[in-house]
This record gives sequence, C-alpha cells and structure tokens, in this order.
Amino acid sequence: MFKKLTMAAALMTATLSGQTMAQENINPWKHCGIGAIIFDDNGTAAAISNIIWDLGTTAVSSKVSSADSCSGKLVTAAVFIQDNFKKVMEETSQGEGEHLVAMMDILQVEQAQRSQVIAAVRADMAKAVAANAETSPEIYYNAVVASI
Amino acid sequence: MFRCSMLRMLLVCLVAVNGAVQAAVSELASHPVWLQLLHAGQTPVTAENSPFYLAADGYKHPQNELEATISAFKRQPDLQCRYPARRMFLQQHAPNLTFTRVECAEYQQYLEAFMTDSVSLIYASGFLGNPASMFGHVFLKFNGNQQHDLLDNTFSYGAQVPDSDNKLAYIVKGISGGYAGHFTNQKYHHHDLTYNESELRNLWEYRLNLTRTEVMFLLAHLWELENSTMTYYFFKQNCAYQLAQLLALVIDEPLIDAAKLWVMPVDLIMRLNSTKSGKPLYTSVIFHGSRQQSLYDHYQQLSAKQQAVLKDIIQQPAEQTTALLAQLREGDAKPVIDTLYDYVALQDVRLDELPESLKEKKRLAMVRRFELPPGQVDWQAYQPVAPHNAQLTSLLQAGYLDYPEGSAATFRFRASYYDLLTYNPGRLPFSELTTFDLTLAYKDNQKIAVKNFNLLKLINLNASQTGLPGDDALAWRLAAGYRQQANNCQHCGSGFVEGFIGKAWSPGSQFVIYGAASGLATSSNRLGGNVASGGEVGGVITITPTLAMSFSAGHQWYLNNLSAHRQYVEVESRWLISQQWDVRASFSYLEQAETGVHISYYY
Repeated sequence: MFKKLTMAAALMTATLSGQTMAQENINPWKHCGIGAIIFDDNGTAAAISNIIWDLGTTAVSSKVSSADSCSGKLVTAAVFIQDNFKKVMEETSQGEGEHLVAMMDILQVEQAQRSQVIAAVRADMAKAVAANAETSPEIYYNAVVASI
Repeated sequence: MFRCSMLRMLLVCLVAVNGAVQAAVSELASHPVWLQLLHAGQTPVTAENSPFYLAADGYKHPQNELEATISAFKRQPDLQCRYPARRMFLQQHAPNLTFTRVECAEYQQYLEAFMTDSVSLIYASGFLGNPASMFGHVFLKFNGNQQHDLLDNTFSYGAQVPDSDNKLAYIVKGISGGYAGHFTNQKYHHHDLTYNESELRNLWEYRLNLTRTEVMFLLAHLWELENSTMTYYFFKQNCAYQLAQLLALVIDEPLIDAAKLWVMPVDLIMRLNSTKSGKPLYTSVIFHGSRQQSLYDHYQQLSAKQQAVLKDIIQQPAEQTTALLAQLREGDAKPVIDTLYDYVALQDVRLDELPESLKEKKRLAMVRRFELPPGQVDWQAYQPVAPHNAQLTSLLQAGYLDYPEGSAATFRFRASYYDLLTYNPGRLPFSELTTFDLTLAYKDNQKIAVKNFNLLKLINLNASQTGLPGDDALAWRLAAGYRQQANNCQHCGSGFVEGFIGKAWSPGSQFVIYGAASGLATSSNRLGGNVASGGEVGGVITITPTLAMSFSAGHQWYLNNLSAHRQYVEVESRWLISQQWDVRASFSYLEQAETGVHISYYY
C-alpha cells in the first residue's frame, strides 16, 4: 500500500544505520520469502501477479516478511536481481547495462565505486560460468553485497 | 431604530452573500474537473477503509459532495491529506476559501518517492495469446531522473481477477462487470519483464506535454484512489477509459470518442494526436522493443559472416560453440553473442522447457563474453512507425459488387480492429483481429441480406523474420460468425466456425506466404455437408506502404458427405489514402465469381 512508502522512503534516505546493518545479517531468500513465496511456480508470472503497490519498497509478501528487516535497499536489490536475473547476468557479461545501473541505484552505490563493484562481480561470475558452477540470483546477490 | 435597521441590513447582506456563495458553490460543483475527481457519471469509487465520498449521496450529487468536502476540511483539517487533489482544486478555483494548513507527512513522502516532473502514457501492443490482452494495454509512467527508466513508478488500471477464475469466467465477468478494477503501482522494470521479455510485446512511450503542477495533480488524485475500486468493464470502463478519465483532470481535450460504445487503448493513443489546436499532447515517442524485436533488429545488423556463425552455433552441437566464436575477432564476436542471448530468450518464451543444449550454448557464449573487454555493442537504434499513425479502429464501408447475372450494393460496419491489409504499424505483423464485422448486401429486386458477419476473426501467421530455427510458430486462423454459403445465392446463410493451422514463410518483411490445413463447421449443408476439412494457401504483399494485397485459395471436402466439396478464392487489394480512408478492390470465387470495389472510412 501507499503506506509502505513511509518506511521505504525513510530507509532509502538512511545511511548505514542500525537498521541497514541489521539487514546485512538477513538472507532475503531465507528470511523474506523470496523464491519460496514469489517464485513458487513459474518465476516471472508469479512475481508479477504478486507485486502491486510497489512505491519504492520491495514486493516481498508481508505475510512472510519480518516488517523492518525485509523492507530495505538490500532486499529491494535482492528482489530486483531475482526478477531480472537473466538480463542482469547478460549485462554483467557485457560489463554494463541499464539493469546494472538500476541495481547500483537501488543499493545507492557511489558513482565513483560503481565500475569497481561491477568489475568485481563480473570477475566472480566469469569464474562461476566458466566452471559451470551454479549461478543463482542468491549467489549473484552475495557477490554484489561482498563487493560493496 | 438604528439597531433594528442595522440588523435588517445585516440579514439582507447575509442572505445576499449566502446566495452568492451558494451560486459559486453550485458553479464550482459542476466544474468538469470536480466531476472527474468524483468519477461522476462513471462507476462509483468504493474505498476499502474509509468512504471515498464524504456526503452520503456524494456520488450522485456533486454539489453535496463539494459542500461536505469544504465542511470536512474546515472541521477536520487533516482530511486534506486524504484528499490532496480536492484541496488543490479548491485552492485553484476557490482561493478565498481558507483551511487550516496541515502537514501531510505520508503524502509528501509519496510525492518525494516519485522524484518526477513528467509523465508518459505507455501503450503495450496487442497480444493474441490472451483474450484480455488482444487489444493492447495502456499505463502511466512517472519519469524519474535516473539514467534509465527501470525504477520509474507506473500506475496501471486493471481488473482484480481471482487466480481461480479461468479464461471463460474472465471473459464473461469482464464483460458483464463482475470484477472490481483498481489502479496498481509497480516499478517499470516489472512491465519491461512482463511485456518486453515474457509476452514479447513492444511498448511505445508517449511523453505527455504536461506541466509539473499538472503531473502533481495526477499523483494527488491517484493518492486519493488508494485502496479504492471501480467496477471494471472489458469494453468500456477498462484501462484506456480510466486513464483517459484520469488525464481529463489536466487535459482539456476529448480523449474518448463519445460516439463509441467501447474504448480501446490504441484509440486513446490516437486521440493524443488529434487535438483542437492541431498540436499533439506529447513531446516525444520512445520505442521499447520486445526481446523478439531486439533479435530481429540485431540480426539484421550482423554481417553475413556473423549471421552464418550465429546459425552454425544454433544448428551445431553445443561443443562447437567455443570454436565457432573463436573464428571471430573481438569486435565481431560481441554482436553475435548478444544476438544469441536474444535468440535464447525468445526460445525460452516459445518453448515449455529450454533444451539443455541451448542452455549450454548460451553458457559457453557467456564464457567468451566474459573474456572480452566490457562494453556494450553500439547497435543502431531502431525506431519503427508509431501506432498512432495506424488507420483508425472502426470501419464503415460502402461497396459495389458485380456478378455474372447482376450487381449488388454493400454496406459494412466493423467495430474493431484491423485486418491483414489494414495499415497497421504497432500491431503484430501479418495478423488480423476483427470483431463484429457485418456486411449487408442489396441485390436488384431482392431484400437486404446479411452477406457476411464475423463475430470474431483472428489470424496470426507467425512468420519467421530471420530464418533461424525456432524463429517462427504455427500460422493459425480462428473465425466464427454467419455468412452466405456461396456467391450465387443471397438468402442462404449459415452459422460457421472455421480455422486453419499451418506454416508461413516471409522472404522479406513486406511479403508472407502460408500453407495450412483448414477446417470448417457450418449450421447448414447446402453445399453438401456440415463439417469440412482441406487445405488453404495464401499470402500478403505490401507493395508500397500505400498499396497492399492479400490472397487465399482453398479446397475442402465435407467429411459427412465426401462426394461434396467446397472451393474458394479470395483476392483483395488496398490503396491507402489516409488514416481515415482507403479504397479496396476485391475478387472472390465461391460457386460463382464476384468482383467488387469498396470505399472505407475509419473512425
């Protein structure tokens, strides 16, 4: 609902506050229901049908969210990666793209740091793809968070 | 005496002032913007938590609602935060009315989250795979200030359909008002994913020529509609209707054709271009192509060698992928890999399960892409003709038919939307979507008869544009209605359902031919039977943008009377004069030859 915005806006303007730090200790896939709820059947379609009133906050189902920890930029980024994983991976291999910019925007990464973060994630994913290792949204998300 | 006369004067003044106030309120209550804020004359707004209308009869009596709003704003000033658009309206049109100033923290945060001063109307092209999406869709995008639009906020109007409802239930309830409709807000990347990636639909963004204040007014009313619903009707009170009504808050132009009983998304787009002043209501049109369109655009920009390598990668075993890509220099490999990404994405939509070999090819191509220096390919931007340039959607047609034994005059009405020859930028290539298409014929000394009535006719030839394996789908047609069974009779009509399934080839973007197995069921057996099966060949040629031709020929045998059969030939050409007019010539053979000429008016 619109009211979600209140919290989202507050979080978006927060720096590394205690709440954001708390978010770093959560796994959006395990604790916020990403995948379990939104991507139960066929990914995209299920996600889209579940996501409404998305004013700057995440679409994680409130039924499974612990209200505070599942509403911040990290979880928003996690949902974005989950939703757009194929495009995100393609753009990562290309080294740039609007989905990567959007992801950096969500995470509020400083402009000066962005190329460095993307290069680090690109290197991680290059190794994983070359080794034919698993490259799930969750693994990608962890690589991004570790690079920030 | 003095006190008495003073009192009398005061009373006279009060009555006069009160009368003036009442007149002003009455005038204000009939203001079109106020009426629109109340959705007067439409379906009423039902709010989930608190009543949308402050007066008990506010929906039916705008003046009572206005008075109740003014009174409520004075009595309970924080209600201004619930109705910011009403507050803005009163501030503009009744500046002498003053209310206690209140800070609306939540509303301010809502506005700040949008970070916008412009709004776009986005048209999603039709999608024949779903009855709800055949006629396209429109939604609003509030443009942020980022380098991209993926995180822009959008508002879209649609029906609240329970997951348990099947397509038939959706159609029946959608048409009859069985669903509540509401505005939903999503980030634009969800639409990118839904339309461009999953449903392979193109999006056209019309950036509206509105001031920042007007954009804020739209946002204010959308805020008022939080958790609110209106009755959804598929043909009228649909997405296009509600957006047109919303935009009417800030655009003083008729965005809906009052003469039509239905509202179509593309009609709204066309209205943006036909204003009283002659100036369009938008400043620019931006094309967001589907993933399928990306494949076509990118493939066409590859060199012959790059196209050959791409075809080899697709056709040969996955183990060859790395070696095939190694044939190309760095700069040449990047476009091939990107186009392969597009191809795999298309197959991912087309196939129930992406083959493991294709997944492996993409992985190996990605390995190579990771090895190459970062940086996007400098693709040439593709900007197709925008949908507002298409012919309008409803048709009136007069015609003259010539038979060996005489002639006939025809009159045709088609509610919507386009046929194989309609000048149709923005729609699926080589497709047809016709509803309620009625042709009456009058022959010498005979009564007027229904010559042809298509309740629904759908064609999608699904021709490949690249020649790559899998870049096509079955060509198909489905039609149902009532028509004369032959050209040599006038009162010999029967109900019918027919269709075909086959394959189409498109040697160039202006030409398609197809062959298909066809089937027909009729309610009459004048020609020998009720159920027929056979084959059909046909095609469409766009000779120039103004001149196009379609042709088809078929032969069918009646399964319940094998000695009887049905043969037909149809040829039609179209000469485009304008968005409103075209001239057509036709030849038809069904038991008897028939030639005709027709003048068409689109509106």
